[in-house]
Amino acid sequence: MLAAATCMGPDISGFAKFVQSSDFPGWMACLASPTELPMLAHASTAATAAAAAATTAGPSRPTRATTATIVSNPKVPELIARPPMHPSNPFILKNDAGVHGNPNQALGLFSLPAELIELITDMLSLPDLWRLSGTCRAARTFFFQPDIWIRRTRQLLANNGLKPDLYMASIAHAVSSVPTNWKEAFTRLQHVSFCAHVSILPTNSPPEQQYFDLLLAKATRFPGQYLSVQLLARYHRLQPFFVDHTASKRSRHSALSRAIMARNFPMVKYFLHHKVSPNCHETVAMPPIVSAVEINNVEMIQLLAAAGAHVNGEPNSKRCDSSSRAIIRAVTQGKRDCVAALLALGADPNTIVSGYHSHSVLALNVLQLNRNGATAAELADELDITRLLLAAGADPNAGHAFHLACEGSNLDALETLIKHGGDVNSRRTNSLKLPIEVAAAKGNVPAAEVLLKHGSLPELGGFATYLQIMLAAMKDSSNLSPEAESDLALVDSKVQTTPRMVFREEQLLDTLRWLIERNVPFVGKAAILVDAVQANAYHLVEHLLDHAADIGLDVNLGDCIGRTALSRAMGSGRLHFVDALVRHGVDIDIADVDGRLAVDMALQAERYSALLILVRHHPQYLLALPEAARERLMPHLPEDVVAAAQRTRLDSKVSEALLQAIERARTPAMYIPSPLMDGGSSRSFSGKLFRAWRSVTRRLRS
Amino acid sequence: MSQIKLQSSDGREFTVDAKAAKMSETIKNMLEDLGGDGENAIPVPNVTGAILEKVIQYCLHHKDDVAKPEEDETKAKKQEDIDSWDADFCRVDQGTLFEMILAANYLDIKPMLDLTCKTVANMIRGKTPDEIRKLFNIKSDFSPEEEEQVKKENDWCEEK
Repeated sequence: MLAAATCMGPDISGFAKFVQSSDFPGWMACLASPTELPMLAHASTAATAAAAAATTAGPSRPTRATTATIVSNPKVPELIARPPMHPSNPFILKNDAGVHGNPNQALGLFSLPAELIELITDMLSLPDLWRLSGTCRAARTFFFQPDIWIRRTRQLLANNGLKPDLYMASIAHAVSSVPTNWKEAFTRLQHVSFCAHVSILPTNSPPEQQYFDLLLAKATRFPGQYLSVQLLARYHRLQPFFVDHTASKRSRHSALSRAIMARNFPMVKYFLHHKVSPNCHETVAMPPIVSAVEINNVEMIQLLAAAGAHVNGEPNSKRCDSSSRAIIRAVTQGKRDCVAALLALGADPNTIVSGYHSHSVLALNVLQLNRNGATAAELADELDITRLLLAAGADPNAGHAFHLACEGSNLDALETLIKHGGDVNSRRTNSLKLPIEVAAAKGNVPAAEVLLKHGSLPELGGFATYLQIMLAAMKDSSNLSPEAESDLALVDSKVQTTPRMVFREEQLLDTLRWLIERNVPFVGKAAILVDAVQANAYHLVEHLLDHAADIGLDVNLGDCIGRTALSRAMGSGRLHFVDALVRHGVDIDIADVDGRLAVDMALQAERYSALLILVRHHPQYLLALPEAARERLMPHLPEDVVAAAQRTRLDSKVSEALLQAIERARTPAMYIPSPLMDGGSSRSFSGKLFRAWRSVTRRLRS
Repeated sequence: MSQIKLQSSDGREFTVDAKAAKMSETIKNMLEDLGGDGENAIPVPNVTGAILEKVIQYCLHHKDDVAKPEEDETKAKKQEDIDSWDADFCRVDQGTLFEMILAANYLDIKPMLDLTCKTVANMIRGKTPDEIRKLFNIKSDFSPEEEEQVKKENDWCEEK
């Protein structure tokens, strides 16, 4: 094989040095001259001559058999060392000794040593080689070695035995079949081009276009491949701005973008020097400046901006997302330096992301800050970005930024936003929620406290908001679940009550009284009562039940999975609460999203005391209970209750209707996520069943 | 010393004209290095009797050829011109032909190696992959998808 250097005449060695080094100015001197690559033309002629000379001299075959070794004893039969097999021979299928030892064993073409196969195939034309490579897998791997391919191409070019289209196809093949060693392939490609300098006509037929697209896309990744790019562009009249059409739609990049992504700075400079547009004219591709953000390189951003890249996206493009706006990408990826550089270059700090949510960049930044499980140190960059954006004039109240900050646990960010004009009483544009309501809905007590400290007025949103916050705080300390009952003694399950909880509850009651006095309406769909039960705030529950009508509280409102206060109280065996709720006449037949009633919750957790209380108030329920549970309860029930139940049973028609209605109420309600997650009532979706059941019970009672 | 003895791997001895034997670089080097006395047979362990016979036949026919290395290189490119004696010489079964290539390579007889390789190349030339497979008894181990891919890639050389 011809060594690369042999092909290079003395005239082009200087040029070759430039190719190998990344000496940029030198390159420019060569390439930017007005006669368009005079060096190339000159060098190539020289190279052709050099190549011809090399050919006549005859490349020494590396395949020669090894020379005989001298051994001391000539009588030893293994006198001459056997020529070693090519270590990379993929065709050593048969045992070497077997082939030679047994002359009757048939020898296949591919059982020959690799060097001999090369020798044979050297005599074949390129198409023949292609066809041979298509016979079996081993042949394919063997012939697709870049070495063989490029050497052959060059030989054939030297003999002028190759048509231009074949030349292109073979080069493209040589390059495309060696994905691991592009750089090597391209170095060779350059030499091939130099040696031959064949006057290839540009072919614009689709297959070749594709080869070249691929080739150029790969070439841009390597520094010092200007020449490949130049050659490709020259022979193929490629547009300076060019999108790789072989790539999928999402990963399409311009050559410039590719060079940037590959951190191929000399190449980028080369492109820009040659007036390749630093902007993206194709809607599908990522603008180069966004690619620069992607690799987090400030210098590159400045370079592109200096060359005229649009910092705020393409003027006529409506697209505004992380793959079309540099600032959005920089913020979402937490690249502080890039954000600083972009803002300094005039990027709009109030960019609104196109799409459903219309978040501002600041909001995106806040979302980053809200990340779960990130430590303060990890978020330092993001917080810096917040400050940078605010300092550049970002509006903290636009694009949900402030409300998002209220959801998260990053108080530094929240304080920063407030300091820069974040309005603690502004309503969110889509849901019209107050910041404090947002915090309350997330149970975000620390954020709520910050907001209150800065003058947030919870009564604007009704006192539900405030209660929610307080309850969230209480729940923190009452996570101990009540112990299971062992007997039917009407003893409340043990829930530890800490002094802090008592204090909180008193505080809460004061607030409640104060709010009721001031006639602050209960606004929103917060399941306060459920929260209060969960927080074990008995007095609060009683107070709320007493004043439910006054403040407009829906006592039957379920929590996010449709469980009512009664369900919760019965399920956890909080007897005082069950009693209070039943006495106040709350609805006992509201199914949760799984179709379970309060009774089912109690049965499941074997809360017989709770059932006892229920049955005392609603004797007809005794019939709906399973046999075992009923027998268990019977001895504890007063006679009149049992008698009432028996009476109902006598009226078989009614009791059947009752059982059916209970069954129906248990049918799982259709799961509708959004209203439920917002604390919606299960009533809305099991309304029909509920009404049917209601009419039956009413008839029973009368 | 006009005659020397060669011994094949299966023990057959051949007495050959020294000039013919020296067409093999390997044997020539050995003779020079060992100072062969013409008495002891030179063992050629990698080559069987049958093949060695063919080799000797070739060497005897070509021993008086004038070596023209300069032209040789260009001549190798023009594969078609194999003279009739050589063509007849190579009219053997494939197994023997490959053995001959191996022997020529091992014994380092350049013209013979060229000739035999050329013969194989001529067999391949202009044939479709299927024909090549049939000719050399190669089993295709491509999956149907790969087969399709190969066919597609080969299109460019099939049409032109």
